[in-house]
Amino acid sequence: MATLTTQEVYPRLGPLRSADGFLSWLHTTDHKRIGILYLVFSGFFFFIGGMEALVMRLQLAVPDNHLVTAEVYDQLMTMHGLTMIFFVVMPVLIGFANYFVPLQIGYRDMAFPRLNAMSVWLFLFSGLFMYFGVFEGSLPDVGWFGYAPLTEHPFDQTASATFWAAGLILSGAGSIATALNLIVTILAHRCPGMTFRKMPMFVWMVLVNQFLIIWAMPFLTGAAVMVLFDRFFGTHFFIGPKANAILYQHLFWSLGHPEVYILILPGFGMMSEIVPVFSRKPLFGYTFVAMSGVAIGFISFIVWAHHMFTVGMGVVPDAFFAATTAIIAIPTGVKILNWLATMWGGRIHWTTSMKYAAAFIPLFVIGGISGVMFSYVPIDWQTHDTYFVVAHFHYVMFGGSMFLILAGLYYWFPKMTGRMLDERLGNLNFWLIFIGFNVTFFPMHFLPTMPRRVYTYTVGSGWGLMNMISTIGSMILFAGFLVLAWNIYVSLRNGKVAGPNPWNAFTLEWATPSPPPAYNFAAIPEVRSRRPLWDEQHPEAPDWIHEDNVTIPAGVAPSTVAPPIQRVGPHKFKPSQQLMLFFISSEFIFFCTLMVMYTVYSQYFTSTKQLNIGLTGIFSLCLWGSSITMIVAERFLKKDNRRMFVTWLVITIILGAIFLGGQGHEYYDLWSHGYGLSTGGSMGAKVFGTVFFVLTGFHGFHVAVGLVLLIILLFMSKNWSAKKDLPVTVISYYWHFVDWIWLLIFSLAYLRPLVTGH
Amino acid sequence: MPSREPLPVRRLRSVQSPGHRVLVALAVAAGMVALAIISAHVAHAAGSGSTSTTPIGSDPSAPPWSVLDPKSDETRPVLTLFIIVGVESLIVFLLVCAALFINITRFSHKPGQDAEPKQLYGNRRLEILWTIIPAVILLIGFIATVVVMVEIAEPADAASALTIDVTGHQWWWEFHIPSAHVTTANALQIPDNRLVRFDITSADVVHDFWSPELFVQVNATPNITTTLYTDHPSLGIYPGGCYQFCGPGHAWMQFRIEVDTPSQFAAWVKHEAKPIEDTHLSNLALEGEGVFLDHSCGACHTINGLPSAHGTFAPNLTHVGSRWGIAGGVLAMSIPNLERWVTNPDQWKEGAKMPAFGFLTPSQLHDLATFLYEAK
Repeated sequence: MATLTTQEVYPRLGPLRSADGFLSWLHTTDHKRIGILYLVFSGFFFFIGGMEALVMRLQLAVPDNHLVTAEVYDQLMTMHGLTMIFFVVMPVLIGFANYFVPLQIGYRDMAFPRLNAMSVWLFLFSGLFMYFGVFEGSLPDVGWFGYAPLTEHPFDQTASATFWAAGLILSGAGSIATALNLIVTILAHRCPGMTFRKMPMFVWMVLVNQFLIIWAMPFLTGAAVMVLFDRFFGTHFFIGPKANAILYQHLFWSLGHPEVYILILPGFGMMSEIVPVFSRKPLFGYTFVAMSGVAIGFISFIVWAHHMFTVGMGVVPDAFFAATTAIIAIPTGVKILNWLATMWGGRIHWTTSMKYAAAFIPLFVIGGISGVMFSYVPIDWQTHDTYFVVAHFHYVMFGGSMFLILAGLYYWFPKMTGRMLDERLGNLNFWLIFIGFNVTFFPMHFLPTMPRRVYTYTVGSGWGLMNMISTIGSMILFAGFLVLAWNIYVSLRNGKVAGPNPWNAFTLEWATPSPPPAYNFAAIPEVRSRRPLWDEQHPEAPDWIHEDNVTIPAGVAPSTVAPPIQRVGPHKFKPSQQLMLFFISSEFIFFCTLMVMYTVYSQYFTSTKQLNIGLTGIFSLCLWGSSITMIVAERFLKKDNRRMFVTWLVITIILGAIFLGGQGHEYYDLWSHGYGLSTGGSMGAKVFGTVFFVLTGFHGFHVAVGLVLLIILLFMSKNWSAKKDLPVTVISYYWHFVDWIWLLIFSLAYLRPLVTGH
Repeated sequence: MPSREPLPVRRLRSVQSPGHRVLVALAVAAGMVALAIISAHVAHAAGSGSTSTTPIGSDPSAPPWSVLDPKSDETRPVLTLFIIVGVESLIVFLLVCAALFINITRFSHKPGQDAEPKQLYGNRRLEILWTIIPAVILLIGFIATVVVMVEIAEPADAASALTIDVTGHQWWWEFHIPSAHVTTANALQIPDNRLVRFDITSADVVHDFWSPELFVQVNATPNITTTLYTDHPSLGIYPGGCYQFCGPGHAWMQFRIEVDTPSQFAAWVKHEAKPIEDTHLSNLALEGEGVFLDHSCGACHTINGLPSAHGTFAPNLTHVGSRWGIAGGVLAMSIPNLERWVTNPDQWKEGAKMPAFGFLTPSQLHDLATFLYEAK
């Protein structure tokens, strides 16, 4: 181990003290506490979501039931979905990632602790906000996917769709912030020796997962923004004679599908930690497991329309998505085989964690099988939106994600709290949940003609028996979770003291006390393999011999011929630069959603008449010029010529302001000719107003934000020098993005009509 | 977690032994099950009232909904595909379970076995093999998929089909046969001797049109028309419904399609196209017709034969009395039920857009219901 202390490596961090007391949890930036906050808040939402499910099951237990009205039921089923997805499973996985990624990579915290704190409170707030409508009878009741135009004004009586859309935007912002934080943490702060090939699989899967979040969330943000604009400003994105409801579905499922992989990938990572530890063997086929995770990440972006096979897209698009969906089943299935092979030949310790992990395998395979069945399009045409689908996704979400979460909870609880969860209560809890889960959801496979989201059904349908069995199962599930809650409570008070490594596990988090101190590691660790603690305990057979293909001469102790610690970094981009660059990639996707809408709707209007391409072109040149002047300013700063830096920064700001002024002039011009967000002489003009003002308006907003940032830089110009130019470079990235995305938007809105003729 | 000295371990007296704990847990679970059943039945009994007002599907003679009993050329191939895929899947599942079972039985840690087992890191060849084999299995399924898709999406003699326009509304289905000038709602008859083509759209939000045994599903989307076919259906009555959440009335957008012989179908079409004639109505019904006209029901509902009943916002009520049920299945077709519906639609079908007519006198309601019932 190295001899540098954390304090010496990071001297600017100041004295380290751990605060105590309840209030300290409110302002903590410690990733471990924030992780626990995520778990506690998710537990609260899980209770609410679970109660919603129980009431739904009671209502559906018998035909023609009147326990709740249709409108209450619609709210329950909407909130159950939203809560479980966005306020339980996602935050729990983020909570685990928050807690354990820095520990597993040997770092002291996340890259941006304050951003981390903001994310957790944004998550809590967005959840409470989503539920706020309960006070005025407008809990979201549009289904968690909120298909347009059901969310539009003619079809709703309450503000429920507003809470739905705004809540999703807020929660998406928190998710993206955390995702950026995790990406930069993993890329920039791995300890010496931990190259990508040596990272724990949990870190790998979390890394892939965060890219899914930053690139998929903006689709939903875009769609929700469009719905809000329709509701508040009368735009015509999804309402009106030219509106395309299918476009909403495309946007939604572009998030919706990666979302389900977002909900499972970190769980796969936990599986890859837990199974090796309790089988006492390394993960079988680490490279394939890592690569299959990356493959799932990429492919998940091209399967989305398998949720839309009944839309009537046509045989060719349907077949394309059927193919991609079948393809994504391959890396997913391969992982299962890798885990089975990890257990093979091992000495499996059946702790509660391992039971959940093992039970996950058949349950997830059942869910995967029914999922693959839907990829066979005609089968989807005969089972879409029925309880067969409900069975499928509960098998993958609950039998999959939730079982993995429970496995992870039992595995990591000792590290987080210093106490072991009781194994006997754990066993009881496991069997109740396993049996209850299957009794609840397996019967749903036998209801392939019962529609989803119906609050009741008739005796003549014959669906009563399966529904009753399912409700009974849900009660058993409830009992199981009560036992879990009891276990947590009892173990927190009287559980067996855990010690640093109760499972004899392999990764770096187990090299700290339980729970770890605020600074995590007294000295930055150095690793040579994927299982550093195994190497320590087994110096005669360390992992790096196999991982790096090292030949040990006979009779020689491996430690004497250990290869040098592989270097991680130096990284071309500093953490804050990485943060901005990845943020820009996420914003780029958001602009793409607006540009796609513009492109599709452009067939309904002419814009060559009302748009002044020449004038806007001049203002655009100012904007693009400001990008160049910004580069000049930075060059001067690099030479410590502060005066010229300030001069060129001012020119940049002025050019940006001219652009904004020009845009304002253009807007005024259009408004005076009758064009607006919801106004216009004809339907075509209204559609033009909808897409034009929203697309260019959001861009203008980004420019305005950029100008504010540049002005702040200007006011703080005394602080910058060649050695201290990081904030300048970071903000300049944002400014360049804002400038050059305009090239795409300008081409689309102003130049393309010249080619298409209208 | 603030660190604290662990408290002395205290076992909870009441649940000491494992067996005891299992018993307690089972008792709790059983109690909850009982609670569930009792509360469901209480709620059901409290709400449903007399049997004649329970929804039409509660009649045990109502036609079944089965996706495993296809009755047309469009649905039979899907069952074949499902069986192929089902068998493939079962084999995969059993293999996975077998592997897991062996792992559990052969490779569990036994007391005393504390040495670490042989550390296996991977086997490239095996992994490549078990990537290729699933790919092949999936490819077989994919090819079968495309074959069936093409087969049922666009039948060979599409040009000669009988076209029926279907429009989804919140919360009813409008059927219009252009070639026969027939418009009806929630009830349809089709012949079994020719290809039938459905052109489907929506007047408001996204719905989904499906009768499991006759044809596959397709969404009903506003501003867009989608197409379904059914060919060589077997004779019988088939239920269907809406399969895309569309608001509070989603559960009650049921419809029925009756597959007839060509002569039965021709007779039905001829009858449906005829307007209601006063000469065929009883006196009470004529009074009811007056109530209908006096209260501007025709502003929303069309009844062919009535001078001012041309509304298209609500279901076409010509021949409504011959339909299988009221309002998409909430009530069976009868005079008392018609009265109940008209008095307060929202009570039976939450969110229904029809206003309540409870202010009518009982005799007016009875006359109106008689009129509608006799409009067969």
